[in-house]
Amino acid sequence: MDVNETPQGFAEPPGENKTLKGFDGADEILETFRCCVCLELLYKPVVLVCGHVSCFWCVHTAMRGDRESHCPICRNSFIHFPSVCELFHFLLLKAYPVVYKRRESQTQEEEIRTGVFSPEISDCLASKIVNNCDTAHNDVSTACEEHHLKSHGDSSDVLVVDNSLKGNGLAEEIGKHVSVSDGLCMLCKKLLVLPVVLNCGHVYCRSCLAVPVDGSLNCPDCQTLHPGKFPKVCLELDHLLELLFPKEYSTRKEEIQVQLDPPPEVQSLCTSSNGSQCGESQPKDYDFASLKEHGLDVNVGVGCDSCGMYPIIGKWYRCKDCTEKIGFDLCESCYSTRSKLPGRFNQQHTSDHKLMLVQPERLRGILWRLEIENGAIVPVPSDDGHEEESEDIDPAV
Amino acid sequence: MSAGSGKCSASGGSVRSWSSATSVSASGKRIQKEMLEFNNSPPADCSAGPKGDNLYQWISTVIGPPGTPYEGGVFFLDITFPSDYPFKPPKVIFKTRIYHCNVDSAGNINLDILDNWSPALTISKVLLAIRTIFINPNPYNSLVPTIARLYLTDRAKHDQTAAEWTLRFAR
Amino acid sequence: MFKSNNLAARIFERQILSPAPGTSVHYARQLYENLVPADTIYDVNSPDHNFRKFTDDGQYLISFSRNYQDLIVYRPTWLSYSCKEEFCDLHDDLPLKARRFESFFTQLHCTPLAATNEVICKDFFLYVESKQFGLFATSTAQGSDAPLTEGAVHGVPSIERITFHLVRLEDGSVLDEKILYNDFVNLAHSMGVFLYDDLLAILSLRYQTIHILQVRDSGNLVHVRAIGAFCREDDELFLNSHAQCLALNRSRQDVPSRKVPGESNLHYHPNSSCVGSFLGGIKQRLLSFIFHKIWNEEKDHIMRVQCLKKKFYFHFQDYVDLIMWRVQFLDRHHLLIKLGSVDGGVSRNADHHPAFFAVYNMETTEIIAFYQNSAEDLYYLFQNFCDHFHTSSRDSLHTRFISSHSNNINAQKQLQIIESRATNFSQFVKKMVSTLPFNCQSFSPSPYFDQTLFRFDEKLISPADRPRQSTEHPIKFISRRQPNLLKFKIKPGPEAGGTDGRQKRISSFLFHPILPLALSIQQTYLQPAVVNIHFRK
Repeated sequence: MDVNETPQGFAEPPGENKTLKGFDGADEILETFRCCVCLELLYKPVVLVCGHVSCFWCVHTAMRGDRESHCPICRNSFIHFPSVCELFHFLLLKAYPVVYKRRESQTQEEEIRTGVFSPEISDCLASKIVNNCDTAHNDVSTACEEHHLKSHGDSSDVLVVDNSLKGNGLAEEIGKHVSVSDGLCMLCKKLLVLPVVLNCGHVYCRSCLAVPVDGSLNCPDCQTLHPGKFPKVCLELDHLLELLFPKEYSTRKEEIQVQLDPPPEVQSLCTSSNGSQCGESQPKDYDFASLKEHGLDVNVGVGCDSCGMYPIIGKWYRCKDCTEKIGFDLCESCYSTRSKLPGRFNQQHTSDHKLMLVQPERLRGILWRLEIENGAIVPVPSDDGHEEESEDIDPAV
Repeated sequence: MSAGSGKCSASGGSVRSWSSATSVSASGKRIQKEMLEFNNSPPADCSAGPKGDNLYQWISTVIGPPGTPYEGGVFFLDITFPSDYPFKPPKVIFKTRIYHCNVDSAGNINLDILDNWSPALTISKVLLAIRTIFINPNPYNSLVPTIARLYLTDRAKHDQTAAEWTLRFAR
Repeated sequence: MFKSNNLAARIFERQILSPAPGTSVHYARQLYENLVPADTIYDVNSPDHNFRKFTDDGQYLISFSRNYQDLIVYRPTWLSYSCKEEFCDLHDDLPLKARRFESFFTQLHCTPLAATNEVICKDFFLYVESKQFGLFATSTAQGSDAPLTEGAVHGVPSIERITFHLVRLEDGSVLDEKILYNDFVNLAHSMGVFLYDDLLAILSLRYQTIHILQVRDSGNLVHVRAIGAFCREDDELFLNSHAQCLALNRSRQDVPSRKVPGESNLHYHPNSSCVGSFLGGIKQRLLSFIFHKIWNEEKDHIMRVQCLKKKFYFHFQDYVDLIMWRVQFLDRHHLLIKLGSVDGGVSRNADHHPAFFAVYNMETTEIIAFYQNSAEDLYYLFQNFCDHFHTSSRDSLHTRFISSHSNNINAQKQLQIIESRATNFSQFVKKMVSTLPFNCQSFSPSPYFDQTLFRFDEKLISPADRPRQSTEHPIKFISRRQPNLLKFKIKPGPEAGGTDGRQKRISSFLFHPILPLALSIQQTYLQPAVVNIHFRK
C-alpha cells in the first residue's frame, strides 16, 4: 500500500529540518522559564500580582483594554500592567546569554517593524535607576544599547567569555559570573527567597515586605503605590534563584523557615501557583458593570504609563508633546501625584511636557469591545519566511 | 485647550495608545513551537498537523475513546488559528458528523476553554478537552438541547443513537 | 431465444455454447482456426447508418441513424442466401443478389430515441445480456455556461439533460427512462457508466454521486442507492429524523423539482440536505481509511503523530479535493473507484494528473483498499487478475473469451516484453494501471482476437472497441500454430484502395462474437462510409 509514500503529484511536505529552523537551543531551556504565551524564553519578564510571569509583550498583548484582564495561567483578574522585573531580566540574561540575546534581537526587529518599543533596560544598577535618574534614564537609554548585554558590577568581564562558551544550560560555570549580589532583596540585603514582585517591578522577599495594615502598599524603594492585592510569590523567579545559587538559597530558606515558623497570619499569602483563584476581588477596580453608575468612564484601549492601569478608569490625561506612535497617557491619580516614572514603551516623556485631559469617547469603547468579542478570524496567508517556497498545492503540473 | 481637543478628536479614530500591535510572525512562531511540542508529546487518541503549507490551517483527528458511544469513529476537525493567536482562540469545527450535545448541526463546538480562552492554552489542551467531552458530555452547557435532554433522561437511548451515528458517519 | 435457421450457425452454437462436458473454451474455439472470415464484400450497399457493435451474445447489430435520432437494430443472420442453381459451388463469387447488406442482416426495428434538442450519444451502449435489453443515452448539448448549482463540483461542465433509455432490443420498446438534470456523466465509451449483471452504476461527475440502479426483469430501472454525500441509502433519512437537523430543515426551502410526469428522475443533489461543512460520506470513509492505515503502521504514538503530519495532514486538502472520475463493479458489492483532481476528471488525457484507486464495499460501506496509480501492488493484481477487472457479469459467457495477460500465455508474453522495454518501472506501472477501470463492455469477445489462435498487429486492430487510423495494407491474421500460416486478411475501405492516399481515414471493426462475420467501416472526412462485410462463404 502506497500511502506510505508521499503521493506523487501532490506537493511535497517541507523537510523537517526546515520547520525546526530557528529553534536550535530552545530545548535546553527549562520549561519553567518559558513564557506560557509565546512558548519561548521569557524576555523582559513581567510578574503579575498572582505571581505568574510572561514576557513584556505577551502580557501586554494578552490584556483586554476594555475591562479587567486575566492571568493566562490562573485567570486571576487584574487591571494594572506591571513594570518589567529588571532583576529577573538580568538573572535570565546571565543564565541563558545566547538565547536571551537572540530573543532580544528578535523582539527588537519586531519593535522596529511595529514602531512601538518595550522599555529600555539600562545596565546601570537596575535597582537604583528608578530612584535617581527619572530623566537621565531616557538620555542613557539609547547610549547604553551597546552595553546592553554587559552585566553590571564585577561579573561584566566574565560574561563576554560566556557568550563564546555557548553553554547556556545552568551549568556550574554560570555560578562564576553570576554573583549573589544580582539577586538581593533590597530590604534584607540578602539573597531573595520566596520573592514577590510589586507592580513597579521591584522584588522583595515575601517575608521582608510588611503586610500593609491600611491596605495600601508602597514600594519601599521607589515609593510608588502598589495597586491591588498583596502580590504572590513568583515561583519561576524563586526557582531561578535556587538554580543559580543553590548553596545560598538553601541556607536562606532554612533561615526563613525558622522565621516563618509558625507561619504568619492568614493574610492571603498563599503561594499557590496554578489554578486556585484567590477569592478576594476588589469591586472598586474590577466591577466594570457598576463603573458607569459611579460616573466613571472607561477609556478603552488606553493605559496609564505610570501605574500601568489598562484601561484607564476615570479621567485620562494625554501628553501633547510626546511624538511616539503609542503616546503617553496618565490616569488621574498618577497625573495628580506628578509621577516621575518613565513611559512604559520607552517614550521620551519629560517633566516639561504638557498634559491634557481627554474627553472620553463612548463609541470608541463600543467598537473596541465589538472588535474583541467578535474576534473575526482572518486566515493568514502563509507568507511567512518559513514556508515561502512551497506554494499553493496544485496537483496539475 | 480647544486646539488640543481638536487634535484629539481628529486623532480619535487612530489613537494607538496601548492598543496591541499584533504581529503575524509572532503567531506563526508560536504555532511552530506548538507544533514541535505537539509532535513530541501528543495527547492520547489525538493527532494534528497543518493542512498543506499553511501554518494557520490545521486538521486534527480525534479517535472516539474506547468505552464511549463514539468508539470506532474517526473524527476530523478543522482548526483555524487567528492571526493574533494565541491572544484569540483557534476556531475548531467538526468535519465529521457527530451526535453530541456540545456540537451543533454545522459542526460548531462549544467548549469552555475556547469560550473562555487564555493565551497560555495550547491546541494540545484543546484536543484533550474535546476528548474529555467525548467521554463526559456537558449537557448543562449544550448547543443541542434535545440531545442534552436525552443524555440526562435516557442515557441508554442517547448512547445507542450516538453509537449509530458513529457507525454511519464517522467510520 | 432467437435461433438462426442457418445450419452452419446452428453447428457453431452447438460447438461453442454447448460443447461436450469438460471441454475447455479454448479447446472448443480451435474450431475457428479454420473457419475464418476470409471473404470480403467490398463497399457493400448498406444503409447509411452509424454501425456501433454486435451485442456480446451475437443476437443484435446496433446502429444509429446519421442524425443520431433513431436506433436501428439488425439481426445478424450470417448468410441467409441459399443457392438453388446447380453448380453453385463452382461460382467463385456470390451472385449479385446475395452481395447485399440485407442478406446478412435483417432490420428488426427503427426506434426514435432522442427527444427535442437531444441526440443519441454515439459512444454509449450497454447490453443487458440476460434480458436482451439495451441501454442507450441521449443528451442535450454540453453547456459551457453551467449554472453553479449548490453542491456541484467547480470546473465540471454541465449537460442540461441526460436521459438513459432502457430498450427491449427484440421489438424496440422503450421500457424505462432515467433523467439527470444539469449534471455531467462521462458518456464517451460508456466511461461514466458500468453494468454488472443487472446492476448499473452511473457516476455523476458534477455531483460526485454514484447512482446504483437495478435493471428489473420487468424492464424497470430501480434506484437502489446513491453513494457520495452519504453511504447508506437511509443515511439522509436517518439524519433528518434526528433532532440535530430538524431546525435546519424547517428553514430550508425545498428546491422545486422539475419532474416530468411519467418519468422518474435522478436529481439527487446531496447538498440540498444539511451537509454543512461536513465531509461527504465516502470522503469520510476514505480519509478514515488512510488515517487508520498510517496510524496502525506506527506503534509509537509520537512517531505516529509525526508520520500523520507529513503523510496525511499535509495532503489532507488534496485528498478532500479528489473527485471520483470512474467507477466499476468488481462484483455485486465491491466498486473500484478511480479518483483524481477535477482537471483530470474532465480532460481526455489524464495521465499526468495524480490518480488513486479505492475499492469500496457498498454493503458494509467500507473502503477495502486505497492505491496510488503508481502502486506496484495494484499493478501485480492487475497483471494476475486482469479478467476480474473487466467482467460485467457473474457468469458472463463472452468475457471468458477475451484474451488477457492473465488468461493467455501469448498476451502475458507481450506484456512481459513491454515491461522489459520500459525504462522506468513506475512510469510503466502508471501507464498500465491507467487503463483501469476498463470501459464496460468495450472488448469484443470474437474468437479471431483470441491470441492462442491468431497473431495480429495490435496497432492496427484489437478487441478494444475503438476506431483506428486506416492503412492501405490489409490486416493479417496469422495462425499461432506451426507453420504459422496466414489465415485471413481484413481490409477496410474500397477494394482498389483509397483515391487519395493523403486523406486521413478512420476505420472501425465490428466482429461478430460467434460467427465468422465482421464489418469494417472506413470513414473518410465528409464522405460516406465504406462498409465491407468479411465473412466465410
